[in-house]
Amino acid sequence: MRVIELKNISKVYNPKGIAVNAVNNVSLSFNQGEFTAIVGASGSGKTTLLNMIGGIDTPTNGEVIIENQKVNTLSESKLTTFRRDNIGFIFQQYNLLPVLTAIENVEFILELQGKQKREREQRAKELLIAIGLGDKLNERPGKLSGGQQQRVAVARALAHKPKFIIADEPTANLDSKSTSDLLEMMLSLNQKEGITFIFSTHDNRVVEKAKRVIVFEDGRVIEDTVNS
Amino acid sequence: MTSKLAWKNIWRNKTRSFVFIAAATIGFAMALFTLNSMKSIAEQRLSDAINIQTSFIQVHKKGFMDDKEITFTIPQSEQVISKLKSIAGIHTIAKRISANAVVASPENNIACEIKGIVPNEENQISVLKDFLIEGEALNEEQTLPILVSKRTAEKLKLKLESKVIVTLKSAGGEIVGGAFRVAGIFVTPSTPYDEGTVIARFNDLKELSGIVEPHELAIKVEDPSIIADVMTAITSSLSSDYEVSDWKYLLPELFAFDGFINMVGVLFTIIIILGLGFSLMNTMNMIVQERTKEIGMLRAIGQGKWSVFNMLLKESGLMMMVGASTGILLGLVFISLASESGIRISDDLGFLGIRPIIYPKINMSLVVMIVIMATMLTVVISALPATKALRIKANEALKD
Repeated sequence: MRVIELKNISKVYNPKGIAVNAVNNVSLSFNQGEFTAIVGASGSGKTTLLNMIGGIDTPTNGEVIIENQKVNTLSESKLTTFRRDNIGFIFQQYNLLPVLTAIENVEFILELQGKQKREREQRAKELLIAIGLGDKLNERPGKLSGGQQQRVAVARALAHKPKFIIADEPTANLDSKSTSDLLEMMLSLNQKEGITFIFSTHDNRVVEKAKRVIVFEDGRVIEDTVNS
Repeated sequence: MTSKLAWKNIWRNKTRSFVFIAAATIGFAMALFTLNSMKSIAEQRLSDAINIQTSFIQVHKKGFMDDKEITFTIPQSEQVISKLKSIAGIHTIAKRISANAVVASPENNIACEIKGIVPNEENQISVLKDFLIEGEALNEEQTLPILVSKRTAEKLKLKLESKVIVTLKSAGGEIVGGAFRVAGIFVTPSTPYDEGTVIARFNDLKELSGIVEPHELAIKVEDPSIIADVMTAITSSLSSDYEVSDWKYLLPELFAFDGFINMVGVLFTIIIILGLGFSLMNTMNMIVQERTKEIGMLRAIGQGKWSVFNMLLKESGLMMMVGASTGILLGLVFISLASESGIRISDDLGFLGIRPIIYPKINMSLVVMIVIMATMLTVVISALPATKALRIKANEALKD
């Protein structure tokens, strides 16, 4: 089932000066439960594309339709609510709140949704135990390794049971063991929960595991293949 | 959790937060201590002037306040007094003669105001007896007693039992004189009062000058908060031949001084709080700048911009609250200590009616005023950097 549709989207930075076409007239669609890697060199427009899919950037032209809802025309507050309720984000730099513990970081998004403390704690604990961090619940990010921090970030992205997870180079700062562990975890979630994953990468190990690979160059899709 | 996060965020940069909180603590403690001390000076000065000189309310014959002519006495004063005694809230009424006089000793003479008092009435109104350094308060047993200040005694080279000649205008317009004997020497906090006032008995002055009625009725009320009500009741019970004045009218310079002290206090507090405010603004600006990426992430995962704004306000509010509450506590401790030991300010402020040693008292309205000002300022000052956070775009913030 088609859940995300990009119709002729473009993103032009500095349109009044020297224009830079970060994304140039791209049309793509994503089905429910896809595990898609967007591959390309630095500056090819991967992050901009992901930001537009995730609703944290708006296209200069074109439409982003998620589950029949045109998100690029939503007001800022509606878009914020849409992201909070539907999308999980995983960032290259983990971006955990350094003053909160692992469990508090995961709980945070649930609090934004107005969930009660008991429910928040239970969900965060379950997730952290499931991803092998049951013994690190009360550790702050500074006390965790890069791989552990990224797993906390994944737990945070999953906490509110999103339909989509957008991950911008999630393995870029991880060693091979952590990369492999994270990939296994993402794949497992994709298969068990049916969550749609769209992530950017230029790591071949990640690309090999992806079910669909979109190659991006100069803001355009130059290849879109489905791995068997 | 945003409150918890705000609290934890404060301690990310311990030195910076500690410096701000320490500055706020010192600022608030200083502001509170200084304000209370100044207020205590003003209150003490006012209380001395009311309790020694004027009392809360005075009644005169109409015109006396403009021209203190000796013939401007209160007609049918006993009837007036009995009428006033029926008014609720009046504690004591004391009759006084008030006249310009010359007091002379064999060595020197001075021009001053002579007050003729009825000792048993005056003792219930005035605390002058507490300021006697030699001798005793006037009573009916003494023979032609007079109280003079230490300054007058020094100028006229008087001691207890010394004889002085008091010359004043009589009811008939002639100059009359009589001998009095120094029964007591006083030193009040007010140099002008000490230099310009001597006290004799009402009946002695009546006999000397032929003035049978008093020039003023000094009225003490049971509670200073009911002065306005008592004034209204007195005014409506007397005809327009009488003039009723409260201490604000009788002591305009003290009333103005009280207002001036309040204004200086408020300005002083505003300056301190503004200084803290700019320091807070700087701190919050740095915080927003340092956490741009983090704020971008929070916005990306779904935290609304007003929620981020509130979080930052909470952060600055908490910092200000910690500093303010510690400072207020410290200020209250200082005031309590000083209220016991007193603070020696100067021996030379008697010309302003200020005592050499002040005993500051805790004035809760000042504490409340400081808290309100700090709260308002925190919100206003913190809103500016927090507004910057409102403009942070998740996609741009997450780029770096």
